[in-house]
Amino acid sequence: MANYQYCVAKNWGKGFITPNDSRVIGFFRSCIGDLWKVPANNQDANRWIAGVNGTVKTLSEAQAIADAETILLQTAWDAIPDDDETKDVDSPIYVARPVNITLEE
Amino acid sequence: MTTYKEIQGTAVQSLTSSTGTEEGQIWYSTPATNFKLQTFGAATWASAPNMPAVRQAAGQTGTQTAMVLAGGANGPSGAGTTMTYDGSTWSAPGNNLNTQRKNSSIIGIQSAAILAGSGADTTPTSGTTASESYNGSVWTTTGSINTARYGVFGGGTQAAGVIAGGAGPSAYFDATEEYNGSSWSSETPIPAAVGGGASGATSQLDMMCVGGGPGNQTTNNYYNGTSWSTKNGLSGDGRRNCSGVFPTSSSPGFIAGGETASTNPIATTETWDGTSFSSSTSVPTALRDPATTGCGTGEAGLLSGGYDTGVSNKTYEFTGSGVVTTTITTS
Repeated sequence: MANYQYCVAKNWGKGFITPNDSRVIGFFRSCIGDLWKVPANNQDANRWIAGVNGTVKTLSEAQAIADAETILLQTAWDAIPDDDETKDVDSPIYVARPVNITLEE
Repeated sequence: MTTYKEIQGTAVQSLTSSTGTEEGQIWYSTPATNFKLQTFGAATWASAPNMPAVRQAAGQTGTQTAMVLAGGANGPSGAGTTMTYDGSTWSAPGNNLNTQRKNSSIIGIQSAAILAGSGADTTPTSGTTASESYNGSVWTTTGSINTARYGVFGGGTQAAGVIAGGAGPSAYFDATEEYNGSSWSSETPIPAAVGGGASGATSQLDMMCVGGGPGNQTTNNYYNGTSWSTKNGLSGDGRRNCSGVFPTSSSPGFIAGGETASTNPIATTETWDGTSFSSSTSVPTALRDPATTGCGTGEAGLLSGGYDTGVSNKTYEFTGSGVVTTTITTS
């Protein structure tokens, strides 16, 4: 049985995750883009998804979204000139090349 | 002899209060017309309104309901924009820094703050000696610090502040400097050069500096206004480019986000109980470079901006663990 489920929901700010949501659900993780990982088989998590107008995704659907978003980020990173400061590992604004993500339930 | 309580149980009190007074208390709340239970709740992270603009490694100080944020970066460009948050709404009042600054650190309160130890808006980023004072409406250039750097630890007030450590291109610093309201003086340096961690003390005489680089440290360097010592360090992985707040060494605090040797960015949080660190509820989004040197307390803090999969305008409010009132329902 899966421990986690995925949904797509836009974080609009205040009220998207309330202190009570955090307390009763216990685990939230934004993965990439608007993809969120929350506990599976959990009534409170299911209520939260419905409350934020989230769209539940299967693991393979979520993985496809993550892969597509990652490719976009990698393409954007690759287009940055190699001598740009954001590619200097010693720079305070260094940004590593986005890595592929393997989602798990 | 059997007592009434053994047969009938203990009656539940009816109270006019909707909040309890001690853990484990059960009562019927007459104004709410339902049963209440006072329990011990874990720390929480809740989403707060999005900032008016994305910002990475900005400076912030104040409380969860009265804070100021300035400087930082949006990609390769430094920022001068000032933003304020009142607990429900972000504003960008237009009273910007005199100079755009990357990797800023701010100490003090919303109406009396000092920005010091920031990066120049140049490529590559270099540390500066610049310092700006804020009175709640205007930033004014003030006395320069002695050692150019960014990513410093900091604490205290506009009249009695302190910064320590910090980073520069390919270097970390051990310098400590105190501010008396007009000028900076060099004080006892940190035992080892370190920067990019969490601090946010309210007093110049009681400052914890947690984590940071080089590498990813678990160290907790403590400054009492005169000398340095160490307190218990992080219980988990060392981290840098994180944020958090430690108002005093004896009160609750937290450190969150950043990067470890193996993961960048991270979502994990550790809380300080006055003696030691322990793992706590993670931030909903893994991020590094949220604003620093700190905002709020270990009971009510704020994490602003940073870098997750890009420069972010997301903010999250932290509520420390403690007694909470819950309503008993049948569902």
